[in-house]
Amino acid sequence: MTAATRRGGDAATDLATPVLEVVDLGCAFPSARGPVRALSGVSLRVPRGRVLGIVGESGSGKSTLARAVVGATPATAELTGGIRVGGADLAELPPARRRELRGRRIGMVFQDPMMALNPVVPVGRQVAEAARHHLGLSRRDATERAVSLLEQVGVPAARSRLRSYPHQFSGGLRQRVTIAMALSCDPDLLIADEATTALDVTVQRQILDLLAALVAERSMSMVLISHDLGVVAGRTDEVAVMYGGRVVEHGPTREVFHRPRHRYTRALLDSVPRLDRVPDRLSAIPGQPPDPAALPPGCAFGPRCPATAEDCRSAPPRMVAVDGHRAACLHPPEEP
Amino acid sequence: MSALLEVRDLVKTHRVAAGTVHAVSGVSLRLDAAETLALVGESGCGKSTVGRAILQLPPPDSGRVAFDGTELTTLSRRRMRALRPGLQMVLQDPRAALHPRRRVRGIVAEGLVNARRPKGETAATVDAVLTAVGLDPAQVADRRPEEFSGGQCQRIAIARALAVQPRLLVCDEPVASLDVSVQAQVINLLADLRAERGLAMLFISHDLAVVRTIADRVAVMYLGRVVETGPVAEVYARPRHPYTRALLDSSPVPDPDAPPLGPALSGEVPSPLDPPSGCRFRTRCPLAEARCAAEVPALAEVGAGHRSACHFAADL
Repeated sequence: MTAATRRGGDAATDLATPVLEVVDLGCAFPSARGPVRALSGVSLRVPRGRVLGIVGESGSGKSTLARAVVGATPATAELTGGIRVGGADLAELPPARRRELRGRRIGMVFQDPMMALNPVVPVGRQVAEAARHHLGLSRRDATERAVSLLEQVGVPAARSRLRSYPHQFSGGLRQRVTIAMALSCDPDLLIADEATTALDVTVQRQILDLLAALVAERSMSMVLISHDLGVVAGRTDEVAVMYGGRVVEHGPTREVFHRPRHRYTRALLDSVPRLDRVPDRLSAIPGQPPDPAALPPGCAFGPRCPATAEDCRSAPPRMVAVDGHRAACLHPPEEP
Repeated sequence: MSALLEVRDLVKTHRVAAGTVHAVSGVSLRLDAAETLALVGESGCGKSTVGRAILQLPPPDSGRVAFDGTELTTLSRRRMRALRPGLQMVLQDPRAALHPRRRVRGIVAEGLVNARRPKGETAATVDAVLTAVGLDPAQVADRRPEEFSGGQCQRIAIARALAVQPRLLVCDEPVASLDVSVQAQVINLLADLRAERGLAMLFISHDLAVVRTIADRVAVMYLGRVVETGPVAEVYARPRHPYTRALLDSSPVPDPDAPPLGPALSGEVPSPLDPPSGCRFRTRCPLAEARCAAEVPALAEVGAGHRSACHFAADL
């Protein structure tokens, strides 16, 4: 089976088409206190074979973005803007076709593997399920595929563990199983949402190495979502920084880390404890991340920003191109 | 000089349906006044159990814990209670540690009431410690924890611990559940309090970068034992145990140009129900030989105040 037949041979296999394109995406949840704006005006594209990192703190909108892409937002979410998967606009597709496109083209890995795994179904059946459903494989073929996938993600003695249940696996192995499930339809895009956050550092390292190897072997694209700047730094081509439901800075990873053009990115980089540099005192950011139910009218970082001025308070700054990347900051930091 | 805290051969096991969990298997530590010792390791290594056993919550199975010259493991409940103000604890999840329906004033005063301090003293002390942790007593004292963010709740929990004027603060993952931008605030607060009050701290953490920022000395734990200990700068610059080296190599650095990491460790931590014989790290160790299964390596001096429990420490 070639890649083209597997993907149904439609025009979306064109290499120049981004595997994912998000255009002016907004997401709001109704609440007693008025709409909670989880996402506003998010535009991102993930080219084929590239790894995009998304960093942000709690409430920044990074997980809502991932869920909106795979169609896993709660029913009450009010979505605006567009999502294109392999060039196809999801809004224009009938629901069945939309589900099929998402199911086959995108694999997702969550923070807690037990959220993705059914505790009372053997892991072999869970890994085989998507291939049976989306690819129409026979039970026997799907089982063989599950063995092969579990071997690819480094589950030792995979064949003999098909009948094991999730609780018989360690945390790291469970996450490997959910990665095998995410890969079962040969997706073009893998979304890893805090996939290593719950793991110990030595196991986190193994899983991050595994994800990088899979992306390279399969020419997949990946969106690596993390609150940890260290996780994103060495393992992504581009990085988008989110704050208050918006992307506030986006560009090549080295550019963003070495020449941040948004005050928040600068402050965040300065506040992180690191192994390789020990200041007398960390430069903390005052205050706390904004409440998505009570965002200020202007720049969401304004109330914590050392350079905030009158012009920051009227409307959220627009993303503008600076030095090879984009940032939404009216008073960007000086070069280091 | 005698240490403020001296822990010798601490052992703690838990009985569970499947057998006996060997949570802590012979840990010795020493902490001087105004010093910060970090206890680092991955989940299940026993670092939290050590912290709690020091406070006798619950007491260890065996081993000794001397606080300021007083042996705690043999103390009566009444005398332990009288000593408690001297040893306080700050936990990982401040929301779980604070009663959601009580007002901040009552929460912070709790230790003072338990210690039977005079009423008149209490109000002034509560105001003073809230101010010390960067909160405005007039604004926060009559509110409840649910009205505050995680970072603010952690400040309240720290204020409660400080109210009884402890000499030792056991902090168990105090910043692990906080947002990155708020972590630094709490780390700086703990550093300031230590400098101002001469507090000794046992700082339990899985995060080596956080530990680098705050600790004087570090003890690295693996499966219930200390495998390496020494001044934090020295241990990080010249790790003399393969596990410490692997932990350092696995800790992500927020720099896209950071040098490539060393080889990853294989496998995961074995079950503490049935820890490996000899060196407990041997099943994942790239250097392991037959000797490592037969002999438990002693925690031996490898430099000034720097000790490692590896048969091959000299070659590292």
